[in-house]
Amino acid sequence: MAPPDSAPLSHEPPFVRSKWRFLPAILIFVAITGAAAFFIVRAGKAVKPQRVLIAIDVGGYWWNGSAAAATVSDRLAARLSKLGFDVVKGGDPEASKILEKSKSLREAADQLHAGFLIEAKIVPEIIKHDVGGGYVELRVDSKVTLTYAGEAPKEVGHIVSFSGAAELKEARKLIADSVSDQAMDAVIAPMVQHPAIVEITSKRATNESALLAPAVEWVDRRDKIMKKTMESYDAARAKRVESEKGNPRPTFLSAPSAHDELAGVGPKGFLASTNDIRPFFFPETEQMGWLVQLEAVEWRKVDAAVAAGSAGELQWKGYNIFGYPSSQGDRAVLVEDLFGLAKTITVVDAAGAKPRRIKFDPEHRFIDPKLSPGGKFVATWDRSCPSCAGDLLVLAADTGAVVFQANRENGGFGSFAWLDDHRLVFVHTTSGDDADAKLFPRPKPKVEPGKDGKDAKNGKNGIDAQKAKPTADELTGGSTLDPEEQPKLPAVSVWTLDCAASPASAAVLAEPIEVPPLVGVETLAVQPGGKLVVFGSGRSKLTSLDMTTGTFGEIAIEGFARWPAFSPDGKLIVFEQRNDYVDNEIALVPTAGGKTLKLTLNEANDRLPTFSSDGRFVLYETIEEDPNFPKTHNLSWVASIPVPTP
Amino acid sequence: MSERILFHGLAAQRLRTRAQWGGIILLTTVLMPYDVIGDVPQWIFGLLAELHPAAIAAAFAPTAAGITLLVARKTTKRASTLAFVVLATLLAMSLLVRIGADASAWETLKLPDTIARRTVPAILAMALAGAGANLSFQEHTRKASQVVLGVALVLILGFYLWPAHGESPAGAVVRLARAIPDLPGRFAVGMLFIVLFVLFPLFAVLGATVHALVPAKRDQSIAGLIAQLGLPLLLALLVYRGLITGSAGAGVLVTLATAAFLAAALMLVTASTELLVDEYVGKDDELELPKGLPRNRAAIVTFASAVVIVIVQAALARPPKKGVEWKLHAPTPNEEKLYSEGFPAWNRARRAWGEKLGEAGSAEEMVELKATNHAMKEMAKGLDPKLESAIAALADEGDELDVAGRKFDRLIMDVNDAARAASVPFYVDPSVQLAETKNGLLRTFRITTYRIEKVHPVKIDGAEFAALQVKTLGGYGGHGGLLGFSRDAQPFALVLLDEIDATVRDWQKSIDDGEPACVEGFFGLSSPALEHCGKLLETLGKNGDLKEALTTMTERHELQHQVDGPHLTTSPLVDRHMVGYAEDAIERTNRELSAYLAEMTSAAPPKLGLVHTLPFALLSSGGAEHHVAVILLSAMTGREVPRASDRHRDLDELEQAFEELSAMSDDELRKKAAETWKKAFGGTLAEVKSP
Repeated sequence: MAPPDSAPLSHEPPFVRSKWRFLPAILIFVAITGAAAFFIVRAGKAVKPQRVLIAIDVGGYWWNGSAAAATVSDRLAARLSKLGFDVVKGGDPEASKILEKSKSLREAADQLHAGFLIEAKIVPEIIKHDVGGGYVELRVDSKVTLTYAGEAPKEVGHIVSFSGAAELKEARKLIADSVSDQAMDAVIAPMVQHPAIVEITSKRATNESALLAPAVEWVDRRDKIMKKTMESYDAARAKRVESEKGNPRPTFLSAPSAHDELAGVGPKGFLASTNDIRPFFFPETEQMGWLVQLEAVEWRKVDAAVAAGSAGELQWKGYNIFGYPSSQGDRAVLVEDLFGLAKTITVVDAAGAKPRRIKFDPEHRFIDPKLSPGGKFVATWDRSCPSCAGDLLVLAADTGAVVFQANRENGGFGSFAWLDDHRLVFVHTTSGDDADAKLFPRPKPKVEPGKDGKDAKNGKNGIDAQKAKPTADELTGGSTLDPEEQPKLPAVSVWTLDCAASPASAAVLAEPIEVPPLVGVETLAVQPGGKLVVFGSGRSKLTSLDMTTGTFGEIAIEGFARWPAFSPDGKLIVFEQRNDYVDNEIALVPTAGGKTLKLTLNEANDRLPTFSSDGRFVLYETIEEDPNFPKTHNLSWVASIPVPTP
Repeated sequence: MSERILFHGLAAQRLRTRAQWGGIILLTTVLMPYDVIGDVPQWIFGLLAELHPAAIAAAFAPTAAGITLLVARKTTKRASTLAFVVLATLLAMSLLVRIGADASAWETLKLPDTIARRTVPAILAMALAGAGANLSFQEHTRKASQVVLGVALVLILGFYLWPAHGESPAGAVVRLARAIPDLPGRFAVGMLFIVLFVLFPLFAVLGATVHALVPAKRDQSIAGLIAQLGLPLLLALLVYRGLITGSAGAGVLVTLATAAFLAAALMLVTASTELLVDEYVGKDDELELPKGLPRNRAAIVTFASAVVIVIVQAALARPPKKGVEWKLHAPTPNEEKLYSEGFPAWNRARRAWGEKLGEAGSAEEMVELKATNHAMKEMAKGLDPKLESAIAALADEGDELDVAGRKFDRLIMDVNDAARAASVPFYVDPSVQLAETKNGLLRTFRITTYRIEKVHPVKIDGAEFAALQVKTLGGYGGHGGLLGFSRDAQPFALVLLDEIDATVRDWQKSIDDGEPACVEGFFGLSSPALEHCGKLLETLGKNGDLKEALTTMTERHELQHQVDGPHLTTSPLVDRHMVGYAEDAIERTNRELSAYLAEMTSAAPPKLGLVHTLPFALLSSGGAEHHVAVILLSAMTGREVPRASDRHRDLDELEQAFEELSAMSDDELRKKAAETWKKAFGGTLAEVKSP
């Protein structure tokens, strides 16, 4: 029995382990694991700024099976990857599945965690040429857009290119290199300068910033080189303006980096044939080069404020124009070189009209086509081989029918020009070979019948009219002399061809005008009205020829003259004044004779002057060395100088 | 409460706790990669369609074991029942994996193969050592602990001393340790670590066996804990090293899982052993055992269940019987086009795309592949519907191939099965190559197409096989490659007639030129045996059709590969010759030895086999064919098979062996080959009969 005062023994309840004792630890573990999983999943789903999806459609996307798009994608991806971007790999089966199933490219980009989406839809203009068994030309002018996640698409550049091949598929593949280069050029700076990328690259010593450092350096390098390149054109122009010592100074109607040729003048202004290049920093080699731009034949106003560098009224566009075009009124004519496979004479009836190829030849070369006033005929040199001298060819501009064709045989043709809308004047130099005479089937002279039918007057060739009654042909003069009856050709002669004689295909040659010895008859120009012709033969005088009397004259000048041109009123002649081979100036002399006025004074090669259609300006071409590609490319500017008032 | 009840209760509680955590660890193994190839994890759920049912069972065996333990923990009343469930489950799991797994992510440690392939005895020894050390604490289990520790010691010594593939783990350790002084700094440290790692089980068991003499001072002794947790902690060190050196990848994840798995297994076996020994040694009436299955009955039920499961797995693991009957019809133009153009074009496009996948872009190659996919499907139109369907599946799924190529093999097998059913006389052979490149793991999937010229069905020990005599399509044949080949997954032996033609052509040319030679080229070795070999070849050529003989011999060679399968026991001759070689090299040499001996028993002149093997013996210094030639020449003439590691080979001996064998008659040679095969592999060489 326990003592009454003692407290009963306390018994601690037996220790019972709670089955929930691990619950707090488990809950904490689950919470930590859950949080970690949440952040991992979120990080996995998050868009990565440096990740890029390339979606360039070239006849479809690569995941649809377009080989050309695949080439573009791979090449662009390789370049961007080299600079540190994480590109969605073209050809990756997982990416392909996502791209095939997604409703939009942006949805696909989000699923692929791509921050940037590069898009372009390359829809080439397809031109089929019936040459060499079939040839396809592609021309591309497409915009490139760049979209960052959550933002609107931005147009960042244009892709302009062309290619040609025997088949469309091959032509598409050929264009891929240029497309990928230009796409890279368009997108890289906007990507590198995007705030999301700047945020990465501005952090030092992180893996991500180190990865993208090459991209930043590349853009920086390119921008510096491009800036220097473009500034050099402006500097070349400024230097050139400064070096012009003439008064007034000429106004340059072409952009500083242009290659414009002066093809003609008209009421619309001047006809420019453009052959521009676009300086380009090639990603593969990191060297400056150029991209050939689409060539154009366009009318530009002579007004300096409008003309310089701006696009004119387009007459024709394409690639590989051969030589100088010419125009009369709305109609223009040019020669196209179809990828070396053929040359064509192409007529464009008006700005925006569909070009017509009126003559096509896989071997011959057509040089310097000239439209007659009114545009009904085209006269051109026709060379049967690259080094051959030219024959003379005249075609009907509407149909391409041959109006006159004369092979040079052993002699040679000199310059030609249109006297009026149907008469062509040209120069021929004979070798003395009898064969040359056969070139020009001269008509039999007309026989005038006597009043009594008995005393017919002799023609020039002494037909005995008394011996036989004249035939109808002899009466009309409609037949040509037999080859044996052809008189010997003068050593050098000026001929006039009448293309409007009936029938149209049988153009008629008038009697030639013999050129006296030592008279130069090169680079001729026709005075409006067609009565006077002048020749600039590189001598210290211009040779004139009165077409009605056949009389030669001289107009004294300073220096040596080539390429004369008459003012619209015929009172002035402008010409290339040569002092040496390199430095040509432009000079002016009255048709009636008088003092030679030098219009330009510089160290450049000014050439091919002409008057504007209103006679107020002299337009000419001037050549400059391209400061960025000095040995391989020249600049060519059209310039104007106001005609001095007397 | 008596002390016995207290410690029994603690042991029971310990077992239940370990069953719970062990079950969870085993359950989570399903989240581990099934395979790791070049640090690229392969997840089981992506491979289910490609795995054999036994492989799937093996893959999920640890998870099933985990579930079993968790359920048993809840449902069993008696701890002894739980202990039997634990042991039976772990045993069944290991056997399921052993029988069915075709890949395992557990073998990521670069241990010598003699050790890596036989870890169960070492693990069991450590577990028993832990149990024994702990059991020494209580007086009534002290004697039993000595027995348990003794068993652990025997097991571990047996593990280290029992040779496998001609070398024991102890021998391997000595060999590795000897190499340490010759290694550069950090490699020496790495090798030292491996040596210590390999020796750790021995140290752990020896440490624990101290308690056979000196009882432990606590219920859970330090030695016991070291035996249970030491090795897992060493593995965890590797994980730590991987994390701090930034080389964390799938392999590290797997190592961590291995460590956890090992710890769970060791602790579960230890706890189960402790409890069962305690119950068996003591008297039940001293314990307050709950009502439940009596111990012996629990043992019978659990182990019987395990046996049933293992038997089912063994049955599942048998390769499915595939038919070998292949009738041939004359190839149609469409079939000809498909196999000679469509498949080779697809092969080239697939390879080109596969090789470029790791680079910045392979869209061009993918477009080309899609074009060839489409072309192949177009070419297959109008053919047998099942064949068309199989080709369409190959085209559609050909870019979704798993790293190890299981799906690829299945797709190609489906094509071949359909072709066989439709009597189409063409065959497609798949191969997958893996290589490490600067862009990561490169997988090259290839196919080679063949035209079947002839099908030769045979019966070997009652089982049906067939040899296909084929010619290579797509321009890949006749370039001096293999004369034939055989794959375990396919029931056909292939004889490449164009390669045989090329070989016979070279031989005939050398005979016609007056300089018969068994091997083309100049080797700078003047050998009477090689000259004699050439003369022997010339005689064989005069006396019979070399092409027919080589075809017969090659067919027998490849059929032997089919008969042997992947589980041919390793010949002691091979073990002796190739001590220290990797498992793969040993296996290949073993299988080739069987086939080369078998081919010399065929109807073809067996001396042709000598002509074929002598150059490998004299002119090569490595490769399976060289090892086979050395073993064959030595063993067939009763000579001791030299070790491959012995650099000073006696070529004279090999030449003399050749002379002896070439002097025998054909029948004598055939008999000698059969006897040698029996000596090498035991049993009788299978006889090939035409039906």
